[in-house]
Amino acid sequence: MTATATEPGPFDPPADGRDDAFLVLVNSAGDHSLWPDWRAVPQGWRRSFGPDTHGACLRHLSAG
Amino acid sequence: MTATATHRHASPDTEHALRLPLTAAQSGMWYAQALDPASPALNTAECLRIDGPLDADLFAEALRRVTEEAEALRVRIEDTPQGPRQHLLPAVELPLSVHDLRGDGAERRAEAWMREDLARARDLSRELPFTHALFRVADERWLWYQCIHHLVMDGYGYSLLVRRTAEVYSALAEGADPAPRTFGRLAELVAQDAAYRSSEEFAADREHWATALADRPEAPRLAGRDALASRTFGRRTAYLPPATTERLRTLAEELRATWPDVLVAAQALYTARVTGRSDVVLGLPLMGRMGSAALRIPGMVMNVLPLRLTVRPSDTLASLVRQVVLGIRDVRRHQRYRYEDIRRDLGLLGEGRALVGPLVNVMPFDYGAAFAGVPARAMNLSTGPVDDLTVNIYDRADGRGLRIDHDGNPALYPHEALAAHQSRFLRLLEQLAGADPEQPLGAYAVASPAEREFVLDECNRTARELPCTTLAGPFESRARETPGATALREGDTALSYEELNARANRLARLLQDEGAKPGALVAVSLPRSTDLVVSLLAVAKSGAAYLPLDPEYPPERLAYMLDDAAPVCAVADRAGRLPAHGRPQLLLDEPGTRERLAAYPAVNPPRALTPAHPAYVLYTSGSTGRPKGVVVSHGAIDNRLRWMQDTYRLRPDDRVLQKTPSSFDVSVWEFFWPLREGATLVVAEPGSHRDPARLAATVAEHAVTTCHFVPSMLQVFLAEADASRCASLRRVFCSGEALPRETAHTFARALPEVALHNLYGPTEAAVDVTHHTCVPEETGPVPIGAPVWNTRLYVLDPALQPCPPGVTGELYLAGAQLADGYLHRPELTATRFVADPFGPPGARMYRTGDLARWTVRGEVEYLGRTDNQVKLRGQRLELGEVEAALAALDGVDGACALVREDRPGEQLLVGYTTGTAEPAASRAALARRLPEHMVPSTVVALDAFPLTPNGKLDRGALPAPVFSGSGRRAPEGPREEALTALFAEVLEVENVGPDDAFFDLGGTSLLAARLVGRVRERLGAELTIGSLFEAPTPAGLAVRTADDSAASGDALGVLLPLRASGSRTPLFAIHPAGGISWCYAGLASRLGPDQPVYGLQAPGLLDTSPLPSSLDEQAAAYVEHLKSVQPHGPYQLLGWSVGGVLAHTVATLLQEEGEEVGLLALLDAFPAEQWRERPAPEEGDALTAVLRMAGFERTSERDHADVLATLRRAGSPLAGLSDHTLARIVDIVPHHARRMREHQHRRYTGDLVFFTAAAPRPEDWLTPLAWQPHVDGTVENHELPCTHPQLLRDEHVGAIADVLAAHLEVPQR
Repeated sequence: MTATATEPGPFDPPADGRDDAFLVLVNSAGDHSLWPDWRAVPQGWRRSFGPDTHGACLRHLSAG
Repeated sequence: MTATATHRHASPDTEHALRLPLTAAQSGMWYAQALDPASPALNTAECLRIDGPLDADLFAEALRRVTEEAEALRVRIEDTPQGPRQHLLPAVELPLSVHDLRGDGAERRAEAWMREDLARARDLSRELPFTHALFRVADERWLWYQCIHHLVMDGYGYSLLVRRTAEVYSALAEGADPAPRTFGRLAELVAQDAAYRSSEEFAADREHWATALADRPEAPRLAGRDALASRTFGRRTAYLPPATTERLRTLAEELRATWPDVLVAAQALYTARVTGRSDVVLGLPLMGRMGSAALRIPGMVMNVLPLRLTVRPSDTLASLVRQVVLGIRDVRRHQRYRYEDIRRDLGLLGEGRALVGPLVNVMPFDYGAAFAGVPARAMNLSTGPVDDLTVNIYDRADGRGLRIDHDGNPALYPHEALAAHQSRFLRLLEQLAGADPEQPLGAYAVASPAEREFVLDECNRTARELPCTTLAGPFESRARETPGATALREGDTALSYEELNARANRLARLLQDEGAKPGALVAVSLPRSTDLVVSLLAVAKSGAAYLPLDPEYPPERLAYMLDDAAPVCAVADRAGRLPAHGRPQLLLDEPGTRERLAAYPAVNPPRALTPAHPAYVLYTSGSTGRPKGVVVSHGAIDNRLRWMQDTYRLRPDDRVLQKTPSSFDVSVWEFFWPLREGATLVVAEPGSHRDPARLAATVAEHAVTTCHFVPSMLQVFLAEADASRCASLRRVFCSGEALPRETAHTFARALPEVALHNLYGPTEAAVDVTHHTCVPEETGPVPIGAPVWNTRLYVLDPALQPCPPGVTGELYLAGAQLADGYLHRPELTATRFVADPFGPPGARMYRTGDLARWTVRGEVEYLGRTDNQVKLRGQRLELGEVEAALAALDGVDGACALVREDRPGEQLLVGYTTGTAEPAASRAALARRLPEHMVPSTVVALDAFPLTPNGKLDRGALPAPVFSGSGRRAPEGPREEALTALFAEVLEVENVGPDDAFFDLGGTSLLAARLVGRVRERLGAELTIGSLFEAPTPAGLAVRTADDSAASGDALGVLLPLRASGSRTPLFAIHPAGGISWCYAGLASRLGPDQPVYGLQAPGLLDTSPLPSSLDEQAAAYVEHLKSVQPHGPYQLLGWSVGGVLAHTVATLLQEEGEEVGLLALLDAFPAEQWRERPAPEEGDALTAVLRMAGFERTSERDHADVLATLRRAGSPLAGLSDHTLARIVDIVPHHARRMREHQHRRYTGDLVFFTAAAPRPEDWLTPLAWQPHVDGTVENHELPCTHPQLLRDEHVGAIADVLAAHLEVPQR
């Protein structure tokens, strides 16, 4: 048996070059969270960046 | 009582006494039946309820006429040499029974009769494929039961038969002649089928399906697995309320689709969510009737076709329905191509090789029929075999809304499971009917409100108020309360709480002066020891967080972590542990450090530490090739330790074993839990955590009550160690990988009084977040259990919606134990620690990447990974990191790595490369860059990677590594033979030879433990795992165990008996520059069982005796040793390298004493004057020499500890050497070089046999002719095509043995 690579999850870069939109959220403690645009933003979090591509959100997070 | 009347009437029909082949559709059914002739699964049945007066005789007459008209029913199937044939019977007796059941429970009794009949398998070669029964259950209520084998009829065929029967009955009732029959002939069906199968259309359809499904996903299974076909099925029936049905119809119209399209879309959505897949293939039963002719023939035509759909949470219902409409349109165009043929084309024939998931069988045609004005309502009893799950949807004009039957294979869907799937599906339909079709599908959840409440709230009621403490505080309180209690034991030494606290306090104060404070990091690099415990406590007390750096890690890795984490200072036991990093290093063995420490007060240091400050940083493997540091706060780990104490109640008389390396998070509770509770920490000696026998000895010696095992190690421990020695144990914790039930059972048998606790958690959530106590009687997978205090577990589907119990999803963790995140990696932190939609506002949850499901009892079961992270013997590693390291090597074009389990329970990390790199060299290179657990057991070089049809790497098609022994020679002697057999048995490798190395044949540390256990058991020889590393071949181990003494030291004495038995004159072989003679083991075995061989080794490998001051002095000592074996000549001497010079010297000393020397053979050894003018190597070069002895080129190894670490990682036989011996070798190599340059040769009387390593070398002046002045005979030179270090390798040792054999003395006696 081998490890099987499964499909991308809700926080992974989309497969097949799809361009699903992501957000970057922030809470009052200053924690950041990547978040899929198709899901309602959880309570206590607000959008700080996006919607944009997965890559753009990660670049935004790395830039701090 | 029941009045039964059976009408029999033969109706002659000689028109079509025909024998026809079966159509492809029929053949499919015939083979299905032939697979299990006793199975009734292919019976289909319907029951029509006729509410009103019925004339039973007239009904029988009508049925008789319809049977005459419907040829497909009147067949007998014969198996002929040409294949199955259907024999069209001219006339049959109508198989109708009429039962008057009026009275109590009439319908129930009728139903029982039907069930019984339905459960009876039909033998179509002997009986008719159909049965009718008519039940009178009330004065004006009749039930018409018909059961027809699927080989002759499909669902559409039923509707033709029913309507024609009603039509004929109604006509007869009016006294009129029925309208002429309209059914087509069976022969037409057969002809149409044959025509299709030889048509171009058939070929085009084949092509269509092959292309459409080339890169198909696995068949989605709501049950999460496959099962063999059952003979029966389970059924749940429900009705979608008329209002909802209406709303769905309206919705369908809005979306320019039909209501069946919406139902198929709903099933696709449900299936995608429950299976966690976005690419799903449903099975779509279709009539298969193309053209008006087929529409008139009652028979078996229907087909099941794959409908492939993509369902993503970001898509909308509108787009999914559009996909369904277009998909079905496409499927219809190719619907005549048989399902069985598609499977055959794809290589999916046979059990358990499914193509499609649930079948959605929508029957929009109306069954309504009236018998002389009396309405009849059809009710399906069986639609045929159910491999997995079939959802039958009927639109019957009875005003009750859509009827939905969930039919499930009972082996996969127990009644409750079927009911749960059905009620969730109906609920999903309600949601879809009432919502905006343009909202993302992610908004819909499949769990019912009750299920949602259960998994989100009920299972997660873990809130607990706790005091705000840290790792340091509770220990300090305990030290104050019980200062005299024993805090720690290591070997024979013990420390009281007061002593331990005092030492930690002094070090903490020193660290504070070096910059340690809350929020700062202090690196700690020590082997397992008292000093390690003191150091970790000291860091916590200083307020800083500790960063453990495993001394066994390669320098490159340590350098990366130091650079990435940037600690304010580092603590190590001695110089050379850590690469230079520009920060202060505190070396505990330096007198200066000891002096500084003594100057500090022993009282607790002040610190402004809060539970929010970081307590430790642990590095874990990173998928992109960069390890990442997980920052865990005091509050998080304090929660974990408080929960653990509350749950397992450690007492002051408990003793907890510390054996986990400090770089793994299990060690955190091993260190801190006992010290908070007044119990004793027992420090296991370094290296012992891999050796079951030594562990058992430690447990026994220290009366350990509590310890931890990775399940795979527990398995080995139970199998190999004497568990009865572990009577002191009270509890054992398992974590790190799935605990097999079998291991838990074995444990319960071996240690019935000891509790076994299964814990689970990632480093990112403070060690463990779930717990389960094993119950010996339980079966099935061992759950990882319920959440610990202040912790919430979520199992979520791909839309981040909670999965109901039993449904697999990804496990997310939330609550007090979450780590702060990854050090200096904000983007990684924000993708793994994400917003929690179910917790308090602003909460975070950690995405584990683990697949899991809730049980109905509120525990979680672990089911694997969503990604390429793997656990190997409890240690987590990212295959991506191994792949990145492989790909970075010279000569590697492409790389991939995976963990294989080709033999059950034996996991092996295997690397695959393309390019020119040599696999063994690639593996050795990785050993210098990666920690031991990340180095592949073997690297396989491929010409190209196997690809899936759409061009992706096909991991499943990567070949299993083939381990095969060299089998170059047969084992000699009973011990070598027994060991060779044990190697073959444990490794399950064929053709093992006595010179094959354990770790080259797929040996792992677990297998090593098993081998050592078997050697102990079968040969009675005490062997340690260390000795297997030292001598990894059967031949080597045979030598090691030769005289029932296994102490590692015996292989390091001056006289090494490589073979003590035999009648010939012994051969004495003198060591090369490193001073060790193990290199002659292979030669000894090739010289035959009758030839004794002794190695001579440098003095001082075991002790600290001074090295001889000259080669003459050394040779004189060797003369004494060889005389102890053979008092008088003729002597036979051999030497390699400096050993050759020594052999020549020994020979001349013997001759000077008047002894005879029969043979002097030198292996690439050159006399002193050839070296004199050249500089002698220094210590640094000696390390290079040691590495070369083991076959490595030196890279980043700075000192002998690094060298040792490299040897260990590569599984070199030299790796088992103690620090002392290795340090001695490092001294001995330059010693020999210096002494050789000073040496003055005497003259030897006789001939010299010489072997030259003839490959070009930098020292091109070296020549055997240089011996001529020191020999009065001839120099007989033999050239071998290799370099100096390669001389005794397998390829050349045979040639050397042949030459020597010709010169060796014949038997003395």
